[in-house]
Amino acid sequence: MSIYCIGDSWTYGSELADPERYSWPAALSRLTGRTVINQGKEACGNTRIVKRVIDAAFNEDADIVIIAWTNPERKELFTNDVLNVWPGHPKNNKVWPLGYERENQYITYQNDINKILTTCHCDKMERWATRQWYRDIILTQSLLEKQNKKYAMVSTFTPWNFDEKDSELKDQIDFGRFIGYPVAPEYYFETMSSWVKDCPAGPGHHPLQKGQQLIAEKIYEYIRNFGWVS
Amino acid sequence: MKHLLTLGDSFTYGEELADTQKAWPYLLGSMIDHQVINLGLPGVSNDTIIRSLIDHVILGREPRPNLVVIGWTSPGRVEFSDDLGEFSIWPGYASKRFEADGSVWRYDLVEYLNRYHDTGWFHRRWLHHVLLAQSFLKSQEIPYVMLNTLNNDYYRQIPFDGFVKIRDSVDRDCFLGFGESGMVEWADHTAKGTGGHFLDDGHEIVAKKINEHLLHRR
Repeated sequence: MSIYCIGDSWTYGSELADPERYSWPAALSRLTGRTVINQGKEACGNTRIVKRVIDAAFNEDADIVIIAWTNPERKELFTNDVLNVWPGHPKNNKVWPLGYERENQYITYQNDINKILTTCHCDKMERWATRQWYRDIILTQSLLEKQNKKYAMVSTFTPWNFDEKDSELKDQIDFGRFIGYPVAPEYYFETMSSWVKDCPAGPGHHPLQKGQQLIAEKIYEYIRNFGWVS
Repeated sequence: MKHLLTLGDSFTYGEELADTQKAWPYLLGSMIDHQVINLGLPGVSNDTIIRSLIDHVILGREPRPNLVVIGWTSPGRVEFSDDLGEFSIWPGYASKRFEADGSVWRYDLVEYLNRYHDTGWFHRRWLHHVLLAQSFLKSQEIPYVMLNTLNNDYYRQIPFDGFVKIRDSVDRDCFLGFGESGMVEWADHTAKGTGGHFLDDGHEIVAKKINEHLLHRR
């Protein structure tokens, strides 16, 4: 029975010399002595994360599921393959690298979709996307509980778009399973990025080995307190 | 008084009926003596249906439903949002256009998504919607029935193994006609409007079919 870790590039271990060895899921495996399946994927959105959570919910091998949510604004589409677009993100202004065109005839389409969704990016879209994320959390929590799976959630990045008008929806989330949720009003919402803010990072801002180890230790401490690992 | 919550697209809304109060949700409500809250709307996607379901149940905007019936729409519809609000696009259907001023990007999105879309990806998304909605309603202890507007059977063309497990995880006891038929097939022999929506007789058939299923479950 394994621990499944689902997330984006921070979970995958982007910019590490050896992600299979130094990503936080790999470090978690060493801390727990358990088999850990790293289902992090670079540049993915919460849509893919939800898909992997559903797969894990119906997978007998998955004993514990750790979900590291990514930025809610990433939108999943499909061209010749699954495509994730991050509207409004500064990186969206880039053109896909030269050379990629030769392998991907849909390059023009991908860049155009990027531009379209970035053009219409606005506060309303951000709020819509954030509310979608809250619903994703509520739905996956229901599913994991119905399937009797142990799980914990964490936000990879700072959820900076909390709007008081969304508090009714947010209040339906079981934050008891959310690592980093403030336990007192004066505490702020911890995220993976806040844990590793003083750790070395790569040019793409992904935490390197020290930060990955710190993330693993935080998650290990949390799931050990539940009695799920020794 | 018990309450029935129905969700779906134009076939649930009752588009092309002279009186939308004669759509199948209201006929069913009368059969089972429930007051009806019909959130069916033309042109919506399954994303919108899920959003409406959760918000209605959790945010308690109306009386809590005693029964939920979901008429899933085509898996190909996808919801987006912009400054003007939420909207759904149905890739592959070039007739979908938007009239709102200043929403030129919606036309661009339609054009691009018309060109590139994948039924396998859509179908898998829809199965995930179904599984999530089923576990959500069970966790809320709200009885439900699901059905399709159109039979979503193009899974037969999709080869990958991951589908089989996900499909087999759907609770078919609460899903009328799963993988076999939907409202449109049931009402196939009845009169239709110019937009292809079945009319009064078709709605009667759909309501009766759901009612028969509920009676059988008791």
